Amino acid sequence: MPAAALADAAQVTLSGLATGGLYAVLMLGVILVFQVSKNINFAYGQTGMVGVFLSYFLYAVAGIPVVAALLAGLALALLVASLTDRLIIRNIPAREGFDLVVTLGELLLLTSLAQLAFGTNAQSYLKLLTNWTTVRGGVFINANDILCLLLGIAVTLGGHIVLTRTSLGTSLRASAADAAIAKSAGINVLGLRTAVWTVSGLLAWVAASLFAARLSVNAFYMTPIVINVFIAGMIGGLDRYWPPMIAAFTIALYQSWAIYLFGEAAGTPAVFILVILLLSLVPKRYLEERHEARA
Amino acid sequence: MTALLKLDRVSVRFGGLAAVTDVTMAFSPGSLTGLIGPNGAGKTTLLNAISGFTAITSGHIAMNEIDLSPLSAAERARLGVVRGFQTVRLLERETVFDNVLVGCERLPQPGLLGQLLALPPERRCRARDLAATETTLRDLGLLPIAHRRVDELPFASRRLTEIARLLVVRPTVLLLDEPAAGLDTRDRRALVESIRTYHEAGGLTTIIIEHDIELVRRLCPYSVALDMGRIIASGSPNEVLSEPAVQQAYFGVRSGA
Amino acid sequence: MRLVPDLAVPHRPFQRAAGRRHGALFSAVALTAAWLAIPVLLGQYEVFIAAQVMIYAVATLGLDIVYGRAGQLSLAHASFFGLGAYTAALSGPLGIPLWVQPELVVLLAIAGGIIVAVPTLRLSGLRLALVTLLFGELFDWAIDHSLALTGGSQGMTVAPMTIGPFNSQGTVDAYLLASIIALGATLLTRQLARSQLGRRMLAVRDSELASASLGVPIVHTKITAFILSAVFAGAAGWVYAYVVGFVSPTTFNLFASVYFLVAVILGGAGRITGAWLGSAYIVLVPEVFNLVGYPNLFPVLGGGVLIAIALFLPGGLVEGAALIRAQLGLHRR
Ligand SMILES: Nc1ncnc2c1ncn2[C@@H]1O[C@H](COP(=O)(O)OP(=O)(O)OP(=O)(O)O)[C@@H](O)[C@H]1O
Ligand SMILES: [Mg+2]
Repeated sequence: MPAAALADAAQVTLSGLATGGLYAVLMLGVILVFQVSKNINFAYGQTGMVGVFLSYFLYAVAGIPVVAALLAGLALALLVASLTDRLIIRNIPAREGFDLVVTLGELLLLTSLAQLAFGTNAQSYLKLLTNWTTVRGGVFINANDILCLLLGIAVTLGGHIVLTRTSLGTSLRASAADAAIAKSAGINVLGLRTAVWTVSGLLAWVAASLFAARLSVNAFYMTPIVINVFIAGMIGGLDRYWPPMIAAFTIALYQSWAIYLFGEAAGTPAVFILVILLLSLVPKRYLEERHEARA
Repeated sequence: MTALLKLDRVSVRFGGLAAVTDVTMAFSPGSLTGLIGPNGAGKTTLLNAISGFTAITSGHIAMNEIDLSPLSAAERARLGVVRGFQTVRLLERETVFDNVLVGCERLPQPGLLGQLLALPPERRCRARDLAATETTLRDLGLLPIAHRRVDELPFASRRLTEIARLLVVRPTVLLLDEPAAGLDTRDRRALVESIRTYHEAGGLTTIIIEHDIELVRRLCPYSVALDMGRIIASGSPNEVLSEPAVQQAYFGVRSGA
Repeated sequence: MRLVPDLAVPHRPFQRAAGRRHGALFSAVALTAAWLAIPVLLGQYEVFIAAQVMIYAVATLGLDIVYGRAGQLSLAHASFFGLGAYTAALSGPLGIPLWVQPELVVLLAIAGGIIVAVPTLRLSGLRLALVTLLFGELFDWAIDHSLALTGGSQGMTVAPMTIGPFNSQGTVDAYLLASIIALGATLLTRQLARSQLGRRMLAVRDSELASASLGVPIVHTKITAFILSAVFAGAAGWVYAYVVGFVSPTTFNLFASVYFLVAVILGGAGRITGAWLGSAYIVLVPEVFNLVGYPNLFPVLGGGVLIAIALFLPGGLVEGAALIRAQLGLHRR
């Protein structure tokens, strides 16, 4: 293979894995939330987005010091995430199948509020190392890429260790398996649940900030990203750990190769084709979801 | 008389747990069998196996010499093997009438266009279904509440609605899972009467899981006791209850609990 | 001795039918009067909006079938609406004759419905919702990447449908066209609710276990629901394009699908009146916001309404009204 093609391949792989690292960061939040509340939050990406937009507004428009602006944005993301659970998810009637729908309402609400408050134009965010680049063997190595990739790996391993090696992880798995039993065993299920939702806000904010540094962003920018993460979760299965995490990296890599080989336009249909193929090929047992309680 | 429903060395395992082990039974047409046993004995699992809600690990289940194993729960229902649930499942936002009407699924229904355009076959089927529903509601005494939504009704009426939904098209095999649980004495007696009346009209083979021994004694000429997934006794309810193994498993557990 | 609560007044369910028939007659007369009054009394603009309410009601009834009745969350509903709309829009440039178009819309909708429904053979709940969402994204993508034909995100104008003196962009003509499909869709949905097919859908929504125990063919029922909903949406979109004369992808994106969900849930899932109320909401409220100069408030309100209804009035407006009637004692038991 000619050196230029090899360098291209390495470039595509690196940027795909960097995106995958951020997908993994988001995926951990999706998995944790699914464990404690058995649902997904369609407004998950927007939780990070509002935080990012607030900090952008504070330092770029209002002139507040960057660190303070970042902290304020983070605080907003944490607040939105925990309130989503406290005010909405916990209070919806279980039987009606609204758990999927309400967070769509929140997605709409947060996106349109952000548009009202911050306008509809695309903005560029803090650089977060995107402007540090070196060239090694014809490959542009961007410090932000490396950061995203390392962060993704660290979060994946860290999540695994917390879930399997700590008492926190044990409590979490206990309340995921059966909240009532966990409660009677003295686990503070509700407190744990709030903590998990708050952590998901943190993860969403981290990923949203790093994505904002890589792209020029408007209020919609997290939506396609989060959709890809949900798809990875759907393929891997949200009641497992490693399969969805690996799927997060894989889907990003797959998409960046599809775009490299077939052009920018190939991104969306490539994912669609992948999903349809997987859904028809994967054994049905693998796709089994939580079912109605047995008779 | 040849058996209608035959279980031959049926076993069901959940991973390492043997919920039902080597159960062999035969039910003749028109029989009414009580299935008793302590909690966790495997009664519900056996019912699930017969109705197709749980795959069996080994053995055979046949009705009228037809092997039921390859058939899904819905297909078995269409053959007339129907079951109630330990927890009542209804169309919560609909009336008692509509909940029973939906049970007419097991009668032949017109195709999509026929139903959507209200073509003559659809009108005939609808008239037939309405009549069947009304008759069943009358038989079970549900007519006065036929147009009440089920989610605003007391438990006894909901239970009876579920049973009416099973009976609106006469089943071949009727499987009931603790139908009397949660009912008071008066309602229990009424339930027993309803089941008995339907049974006496003929052609119905019933297996009924019940913890209320008195009810089994009154209703079922024949009974089977399960413990730890195995049959430990069978015969008339009085015979079964006097078996030492049953005393041990059943009352032992009960008085110890 | 009976297993039912003792009732002071013996209740005769089968005599209620007569009372109901009077009520139905009264509503039919009232509705016809309103239908005649709109084009006579209101201005062109209002009549045009009324036509849009009727068109959206058809699409909302479609989502009500698959989500409200069969309980399958579809996030691609606006895409099916768009499928019909773009069929009308592209028929001009592609030279597809008018009489072929309705059949084409139905065929496309059935094909799309099957593509989205086939995963229901294996999926439910969350995964199904995601597959429908992805399908919607693919539709958006297809429009954006066929710039030469569709104008991409800029949208395209649609030549009116003309048959003799009939012109689909004339006010009264549009009103008539919309009335015809709205009446058809409403009657079909009413018949669906009376049929075993409709009850199968409710059974599948409420409990798949119970459905199986009744012999309901679950997969078949879900696919039928998807196809019916796609056909309703496709037909509505087709008329929409001819009446409005302009199509662009924002009318058919994920947010538009969420608006349809808002319409179904706000009105009350599984209720025909609910679908009409919901469609009136998603057409009229944005107009009101436009008039007062805050068009951006509609999505904010939409998100808020969806959450509020789910939290406080899960049965939607129709059940809310019933509750109020019961509270006021107007409701005879
Ligand atoms: N789907 C399942 N997966 C795993 N184990 C199961 C499943 N269903 C039942 N079991 C186990 O199988 C055993 C038998 O359960 P089953 O429900 O059949 O008992 P039962 O006799 O109906 O008890 P009860 O009187 O309490 O209803 C129990 O130990 C139960 O925990
Ligand atoms: Mg049981």
